[in-house]
Amino acid sequence: MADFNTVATQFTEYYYTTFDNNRSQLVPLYDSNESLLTFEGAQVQGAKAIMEKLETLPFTKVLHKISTLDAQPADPSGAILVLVTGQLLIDDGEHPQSFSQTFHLIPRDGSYYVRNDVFRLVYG
Amino acid sequence: MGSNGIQKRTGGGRPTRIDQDGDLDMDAPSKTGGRGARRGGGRSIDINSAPKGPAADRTGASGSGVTRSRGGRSRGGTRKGRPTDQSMIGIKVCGWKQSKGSAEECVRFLERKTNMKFRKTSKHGDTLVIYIPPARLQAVLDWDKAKFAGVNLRITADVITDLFNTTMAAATPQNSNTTATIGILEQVLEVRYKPETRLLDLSNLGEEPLLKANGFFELNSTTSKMFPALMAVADKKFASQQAKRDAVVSVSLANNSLSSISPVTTLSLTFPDIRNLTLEGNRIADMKSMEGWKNRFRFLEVLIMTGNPIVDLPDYRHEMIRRYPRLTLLDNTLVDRPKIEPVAGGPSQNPSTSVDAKGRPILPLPTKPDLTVDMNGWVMNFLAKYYVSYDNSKDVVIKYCYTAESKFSLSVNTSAPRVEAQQGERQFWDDYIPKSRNMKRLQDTSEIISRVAVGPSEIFELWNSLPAVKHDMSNIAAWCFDIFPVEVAPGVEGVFVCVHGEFEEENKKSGKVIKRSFDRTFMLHVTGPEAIKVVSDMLVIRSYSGLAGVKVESVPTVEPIPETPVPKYEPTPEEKQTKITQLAETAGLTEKAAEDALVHSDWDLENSWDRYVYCHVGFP
Repeated sequence: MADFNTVATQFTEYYYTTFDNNRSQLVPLYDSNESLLTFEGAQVQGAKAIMEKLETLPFTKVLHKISTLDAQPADPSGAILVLVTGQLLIDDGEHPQSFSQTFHLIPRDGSYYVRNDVFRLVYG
Repeated sequence: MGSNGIQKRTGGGRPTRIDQDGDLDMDAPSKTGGRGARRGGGRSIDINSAPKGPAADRTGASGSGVTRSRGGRSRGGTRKGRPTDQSMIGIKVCGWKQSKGSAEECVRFLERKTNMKFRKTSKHGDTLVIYIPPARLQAVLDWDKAKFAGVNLRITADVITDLFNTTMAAATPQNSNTTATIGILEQVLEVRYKPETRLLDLSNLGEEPLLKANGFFELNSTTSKMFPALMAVADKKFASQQAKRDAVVSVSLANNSLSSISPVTTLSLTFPDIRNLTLEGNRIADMKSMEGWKNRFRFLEVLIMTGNPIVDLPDYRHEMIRRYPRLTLLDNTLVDRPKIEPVAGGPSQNPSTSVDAKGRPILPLPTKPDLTVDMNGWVMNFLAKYYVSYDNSKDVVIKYCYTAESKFSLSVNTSAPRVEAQQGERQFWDDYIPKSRNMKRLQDTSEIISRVAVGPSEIFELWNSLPAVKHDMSNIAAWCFDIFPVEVAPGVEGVFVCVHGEFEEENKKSGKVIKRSFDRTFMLHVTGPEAIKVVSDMLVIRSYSGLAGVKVESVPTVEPIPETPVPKYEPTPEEKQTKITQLAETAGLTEKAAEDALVHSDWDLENSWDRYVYCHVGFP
């Protein structure tokens, strides 16, 4: 299995590129039951509900600009914790929003899925 | 899953009861039961269950075209008989024709500005009509005269659904009219207001002669509409917010057989600053039934709920104290807030001004829209202790909270926006950069590997190489938390914690105190209130971004909530259905209309309903 840093880097790159280009393609990253999205303090569980939440966010165009990326092995089974901060440009708006996002990745069948995804816009 | 207060919908024309005590039966008895599945770190949520009951109607109604809404709904009709065209109102946009932009661009422009998606728009010559849920009326009207492609747009709603009148019509008994209703309700308020004690006594309304004599309780449907109407009239009674604040300090809603506060939700808008509230002797059975007043009544000091089944819930006191941060008396028992003790052996050589005589931070429990699925408050307690000790005696934190498996790393976000006061100021990141594990910047693999500190001694060493800092958790408004259970390893229960806050740093190089913001993610292994161990600990430090709140671009807030942005809330399908039913019931709307309003208010029930009441024109 690839080392956790490589996984984290590749994961975030894939995640944000996909999010910015076609959010609906994120669905394979989430488990249909176990994944839990905590978006601005509200929780939705399961890939379907998560995608519904992500796809109905009130903007059409979004661009994530990543400022920091850090990762740690989370448990002996190979889970990884990824903490990302950066800025969000919404619909070509002028004021980028700072965000902080933590992913909890769980290994499965030679790949990973997102068990927890905690997103917050942070002051700024 | 517990549902609440919606049974009367399915019951049809159940007659109003006055029970033996003369109490008015406002609402069907609520099914008791817990708050539903706990939202956990993965496994205990029943989210896939299909919505029950009236959902079928809803699907049937959707997809029909929307037309301009008009009042004049007939009373007493069955739900199915009600027209569906109440769901949307048309707003006229003019002026775009003279601009350089097209109608389509104008629509997109307004969507962006209002942060909405318009489901239907149409063009009639120079006029563009946008159909929106009434709840969003003001949000769009706020953009009147907005500059679009070189011209000022004119946005009008010349046919505004008179929601006030609708509310009144809904409450009006048969053989009467809305003017009479308003008059009677005004009289009720007059009689029930005690200026000497500044008390609005709305207790026992089932016994109120004025209401009884005028047939307010003859129809069940009318009964449940009386409260919203009374609230709307109360809102009109006082001219300004200040007048309301001055006139009413206490409200009694005792003995009204309420099984949910939803008929009276708007009380929290009309009188947001009241200090004393009694709901004694009602039928409120669960937290859900109080949901509409979450994050409201910030100044509430006394709350009486005795005689409601809810007081028997195990978490009841804890939850109420959490919801109403200033509560000093709950059900005539003094509120004993959990004391925040520093970690054993903890500080404080260096007490900051924000701690009390014993070195404890003065910590109001947070009422921000944080997510705190906490275990009896253990984690919040832990964090409070953690930060005091972290600032003053790191060795204690290491000893009590970190194990050989614990990991810590930090990153510096040098490009995060900062407050104006710090614009152009050098940020002095020098102490952090050599430790920063930001893989966006750091390429050297050996450095990437070595910059995760593992185990107490490595972590302690890394911390000690960082500048001294001070976290002030008493200024809780500056902090934000997401706390919920998680499986920290297969089969091992723990808690996921994301903290966003600020600290002050004694920067040696500049000789100044620098304020900074941070994001920190912990995974905690929790086996008891005093047995919490850090498994993972990741920190991001960035320039101080201030407390201006999230500047969501161009979204005017209809009702500003001072401290914090409102979180996006996504309920389960069952909760959605409950909300739809509640709103439909209270506002006298079709389910479709209620759903639309809720969708556009992010499923915030009171928001949807409040806006229905508030986005109206004045008295006829």
